[in-house]
Amino acid sequence: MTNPPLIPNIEPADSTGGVSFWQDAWHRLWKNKLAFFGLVVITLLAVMSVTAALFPKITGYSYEQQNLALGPMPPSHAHWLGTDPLGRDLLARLLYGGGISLLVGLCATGVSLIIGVIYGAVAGFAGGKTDMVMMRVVDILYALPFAIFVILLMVFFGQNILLLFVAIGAVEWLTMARIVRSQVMSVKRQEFVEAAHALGLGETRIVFRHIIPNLLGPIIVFATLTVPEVILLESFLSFLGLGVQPPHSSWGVLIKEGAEVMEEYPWLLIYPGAIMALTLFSLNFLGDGLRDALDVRGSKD
Amino acid sequence: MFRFIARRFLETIPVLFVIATATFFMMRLAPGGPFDSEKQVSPEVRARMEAHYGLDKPLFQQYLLQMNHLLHGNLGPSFKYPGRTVNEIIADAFPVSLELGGEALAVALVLGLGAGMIASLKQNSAWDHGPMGLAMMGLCVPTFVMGPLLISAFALHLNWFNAAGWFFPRDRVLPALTLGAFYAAYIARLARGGFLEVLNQDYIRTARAKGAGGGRILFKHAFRGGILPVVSFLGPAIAGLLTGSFVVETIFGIPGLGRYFVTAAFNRDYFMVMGSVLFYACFVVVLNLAADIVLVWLNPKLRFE
Amino acid sequence: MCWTLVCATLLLGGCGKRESLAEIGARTQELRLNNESEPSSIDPAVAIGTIEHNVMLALLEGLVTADAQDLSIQPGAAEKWDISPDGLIYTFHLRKNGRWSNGEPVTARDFLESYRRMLMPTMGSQYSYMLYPLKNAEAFNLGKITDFDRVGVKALDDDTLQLTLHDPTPCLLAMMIHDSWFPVPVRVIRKYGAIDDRTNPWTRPGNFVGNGPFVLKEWRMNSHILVEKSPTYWNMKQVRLNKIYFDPTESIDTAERMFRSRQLHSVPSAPPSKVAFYRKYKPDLINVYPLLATYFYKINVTRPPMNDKRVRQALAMAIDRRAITETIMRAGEEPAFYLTPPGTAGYTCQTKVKEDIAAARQLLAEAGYPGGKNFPTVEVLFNTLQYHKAIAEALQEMWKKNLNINVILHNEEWKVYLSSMHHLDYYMGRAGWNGDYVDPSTFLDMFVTGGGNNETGWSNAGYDRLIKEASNTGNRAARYAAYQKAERILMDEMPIIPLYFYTRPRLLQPQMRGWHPNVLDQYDFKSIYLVPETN
Repeated sequence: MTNPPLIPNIEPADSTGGVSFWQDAWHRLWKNKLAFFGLVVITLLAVMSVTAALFPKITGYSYEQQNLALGPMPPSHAHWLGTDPLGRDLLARLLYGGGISLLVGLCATGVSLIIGVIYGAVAGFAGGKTDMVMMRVVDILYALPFAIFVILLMVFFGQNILLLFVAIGAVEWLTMARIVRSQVMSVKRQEFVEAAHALGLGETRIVFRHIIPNLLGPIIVFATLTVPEVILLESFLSFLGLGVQPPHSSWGVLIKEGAEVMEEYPWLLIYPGAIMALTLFSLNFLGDGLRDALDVRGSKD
Repeated sequence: MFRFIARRFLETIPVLFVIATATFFMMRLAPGGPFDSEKQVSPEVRARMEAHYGLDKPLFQQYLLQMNHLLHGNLGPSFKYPGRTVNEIIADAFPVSLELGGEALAVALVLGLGAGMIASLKQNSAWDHGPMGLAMMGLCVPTFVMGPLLISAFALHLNWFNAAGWFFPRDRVLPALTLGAFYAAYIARLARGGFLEVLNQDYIRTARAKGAGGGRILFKHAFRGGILPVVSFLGPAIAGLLTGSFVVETIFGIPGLGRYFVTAAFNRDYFMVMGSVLFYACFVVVLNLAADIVLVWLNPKLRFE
Repeated sequence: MCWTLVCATLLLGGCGKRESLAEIGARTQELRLNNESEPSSIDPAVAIGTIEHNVMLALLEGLVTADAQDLSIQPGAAEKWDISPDGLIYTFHLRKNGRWSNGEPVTARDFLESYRRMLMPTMGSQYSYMLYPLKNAEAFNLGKITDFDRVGVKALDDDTLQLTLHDPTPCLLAMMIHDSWFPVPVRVIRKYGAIDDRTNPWTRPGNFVGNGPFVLKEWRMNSHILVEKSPTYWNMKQVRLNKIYFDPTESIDTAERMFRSRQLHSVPSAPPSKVAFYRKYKPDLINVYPLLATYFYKINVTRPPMNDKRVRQALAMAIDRRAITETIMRAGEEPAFYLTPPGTAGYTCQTKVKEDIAAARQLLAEAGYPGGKNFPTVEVLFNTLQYHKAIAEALQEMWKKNLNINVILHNEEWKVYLSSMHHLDYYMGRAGWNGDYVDPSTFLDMFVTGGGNNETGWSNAGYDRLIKEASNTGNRAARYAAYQKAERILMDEMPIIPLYFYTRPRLLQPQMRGWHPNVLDQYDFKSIYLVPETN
């Protein structure tokens, strides 16, 4: 359930060229074909989306350019992936939307990461009453139905992308906090921390230089796995009409629009759906691969 | 054990209290009210209606009244559906969600545990990547796409099922599959991870050395340990499953509770929102408790936490 | 394990063709209708929409009913009526064989009590204004007088009801097909609680008593409402249906799938993306007809730059309505160049907005923004719905291309949107209006100064005067002349930008007969019947 504690990252007194933990992890990741494939796909997509965002006319059309007379058309020479009911080029919207979705994914995950790690580390390290109170707060927040909460947030503060990050991040940090806390609690009991105490090292130093690096493994894994959840959450919000606003597109918006017309204009669902599924696949496999790579006991030798 | 349960219940009361307060103020402070409609009512009529429900009193007084009602289990009337009380609506809709959730859970457990356990036995082989890849579909295809796809294929083209509704036994199949797919994927991955960790333990090696085959290892020796992460996850996940999934209920026309969560918030149906939130919160708390108990039973090492 | 799953699915999948619910219904005369949403209440004094109205049409009957084809007024609970020469006194003679579903006769007193209940201030009925043509009704409703005897309703005897109006209201009979004029069994309501308590449970199955062609049998929230033919209805012989099943599915995509899977006989609105498909490939399953409803944008005239008439006119002239109706909506909607749908009780507005980009640019320049320069960024507000968004996006693009101005789109959640519109917290906002009855007043009355549904801040004394003039006279020619002048002012001042007139793309199984399209989309359950398909 929880990953076991790892050998702390103290520089070896002599450099005999031994393999460090991180090098070993990278090596194992590279051997996992699926995870590596995932990494490659994500990088490619990210690059494409960033390029599309920076150079909007790269496909010859902008994501918001309408052509009402044309209407929805299947893929053709002029529009490689076809057009939507307003005559907008799907490829352009897909690239632009990909950028937005990945951005939402990364930022929301980032928000949840920062809040979750700090909160969980503090709670786990402090222990006792502080920990109990902090975890009760998490329980309270966990018990709020996400849908109502997000609706209220969006209603209160209006609908802009920044709010979206905050709203989603505000929900995801709970699980991160829990994981970090239980990880901290099990690391805390390990001998090397006792040793650090015995050596007289200060609390902050212990937390930042010894405990947190040992958390990095599960944190990275969980973060990689949170991004797809965030992307899916954004698509659910689009289903409710609360996600990214027109004329911007995101994968959630494209998929929702595509699902509504999937029988008449299937390309509007197939391409965004395939790309989103591919991305989520990749992220998930990457996350699994990272977990396998960073879990010492998982190595078969 | 009894003391543990009792202590948890006592701890729940302040949690519920905070949730109720937070919900109350969030809803009241949100713009737009229950009586805003496209054809505007005259100010006099609006005043009458607000007076009827006690919405004209000072906010804090309303808050105290509401808390008092809640203590007596009275969840109040619904604004959107005059003549119905929130208690009634929940009592009517919950059994439907319960059934749907239960069936989806069954699907999720069977498919998810199955895939995860097989994958863990044969790590990094085709038996790992295949089922896990399939399971991933549940994680990567949103329900509002999965649902219509299944309906299109099985209901509209093959005509095996009705496209929507909740009347005949066969109406349960597609919704349960759609709702369960996501959880199946999650459970598959958690099970694989959990079982993998257990399978690398020494006592498994001993069992293998003694000649135990794959199935026996999985079910007899590894099960208790491997299933731990699944149980942790299931606690809060079941709450979500059982209180209904808005998307599935909308797509399949199911009269469950999930829809009310969303529509009540959109309608500013204050008492309905409060009722749904508290109901959901109680559920989560109870299920978390159950999950913790099961966890402790499965893993005696945790008993001394 | 895998095998049992496969076998189970195959078994459940069933072998061979099952009889669909629509086919069963056709055999048993059970009409299965999609009713677009769960009704909030079926009490006429509490209900507020067409969804509730549809159910009430089956359960209650007013003094008059509407013919399904042309909405002409037909006798209902009243067999005949006399109108005094000055148009102020209506005397209704009720049928002697009218009965409530509990066997008691329907009397004039029942109508009187129903109207009194509707107008009781404590009832808080949202449609009480429909009864305001009655003398002193408004005063009673606002609590200014407390003696209902002073209101213009009298029961002369058991079968004679006399209504006294304060102005000749030629559209009164047309208004009376609305459910606010339906009778309710007040004696029965009293048994279950206070008659002005909106939460009174008299509307539950088992409690409900009505005088209509059907009685309430089952009502499961968000699942269905089932009504059955009433044995006490006076015209039972004409009713051919045995049951009506109202399905409350809100999602039009789900409803359309249910239609395709033969679970429903009729769905009021096909999803916009599928309308073209049905019209082309399955024209016998779809019927597209105009509704008495207009889609338009309201402009907040109190907020600069919208306070300048020329800006508003430019915005209204620089768009291509046909492009919107033909490429986005695609359900045969007619572009609207004025507010009141054409042919409303024989009235068609003669003033039209002209779509003229050059003239629009000229106006914008005159207003101080030549070539769109320095024009502040304004927002278009709309609530969350796919086609509102598409239309707003198209208009945004048109204004940019034709006038070179920037318009931001702002999508608000429903209640927030309503609140913003109501508090004049917007620049331009999407709006729609369904006529309550067939008369131009239901549209034009909206924009008098301070009207509750005005919401634009627009006020024009000339307009107010003309509207009042029209309501004071019973002479149709004079009324319509006044309305023409009023609508001309409206189209000159442009507090609204009319876009198109709604249509209904209704899906119908061929088994459903006796139904006719009309602009109020009113059902006539006495005439509808089902025939089993011959193949």
